[in-house]
Amino acid sequence: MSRLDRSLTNSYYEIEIDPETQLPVSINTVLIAAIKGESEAKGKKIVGGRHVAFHFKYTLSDFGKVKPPSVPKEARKLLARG
Amino acid sequence: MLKKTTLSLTATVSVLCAVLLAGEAMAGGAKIQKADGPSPGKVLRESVKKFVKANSYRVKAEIVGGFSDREDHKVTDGKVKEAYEAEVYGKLMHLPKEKAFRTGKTGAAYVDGAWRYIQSNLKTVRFQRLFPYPRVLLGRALASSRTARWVQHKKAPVNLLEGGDDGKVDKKKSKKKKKKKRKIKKKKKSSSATVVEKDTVAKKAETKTDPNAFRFLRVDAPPKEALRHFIEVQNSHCFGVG
Repeated sequence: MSRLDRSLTNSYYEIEIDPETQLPVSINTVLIAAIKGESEAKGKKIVGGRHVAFHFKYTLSDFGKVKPPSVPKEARKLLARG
Repeated sequence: MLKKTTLSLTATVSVLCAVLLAGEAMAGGAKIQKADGPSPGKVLRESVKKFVKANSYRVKAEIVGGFSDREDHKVTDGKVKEAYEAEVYGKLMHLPKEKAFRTGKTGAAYVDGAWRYIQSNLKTVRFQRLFPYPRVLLGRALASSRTARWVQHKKAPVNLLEGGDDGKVDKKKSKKKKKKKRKIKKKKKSSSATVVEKDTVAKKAETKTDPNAFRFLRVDAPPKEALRHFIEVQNSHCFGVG
């Protein structure tokens, strides 16, 4: 990964909003980074060539319906210390 | 003489005013056309507010990463494929499959028969870094809300990896697709121009009445933000340590 061009990274979010509840029901994050000498760019935007790409697709549901989880004692201690 | 000049002056002033007003009205009209539909930034802000108020929710995450040589950035050479399911209650996130609890920066996971800090194990560090809270992503999107814009509704589910699970393109499938595309093109060519016109009119009407037309928002993050997120991903050691 040493050939990564850190000066050329792009990311965007695509958020789906339920028009009825106005809540976000999905978040799709795309993260891209150029590779030196291999990626094509227009200005500061990566448009092609070989590049690193990450897609984070989140689906959200059951808003306000989740009950508090029971955390084991030892785990609770670690969470409290951190 | 004086009367004539004052009359002509008032006439020119009124004409100028009329022109200016007309210009403003036209500009206003363009603005109205631009602002067709709800303001994306405002909708995003409201949505995040409601999300924060909801306090608890369930989240399924699918993370795919690797190399791409495509303009749409679909992964063609997959290196990372992770899936997580979690319940979030306030700041506390519970990942039942991973036997882990997170509270933002810290967390505890059941590893090798004991509860340990989430940062103490490579596997648990991976999801701590690779799987940010949805509120974190929404917060980042909100920070760039001025770039928010409505995008077209996608009917087909998004396939994050090109060609399926292993990232390799299924040649048979792609050949079939190409054949189908050719057939459709031929059909389109044979149909009359009036039918095409009707189609475009129908499509325009569809977008006007489609209740899902304002469902998907796109927010572009600044390069600095992208770099910060990328460093987080690299620190998850998903590409291997070192």
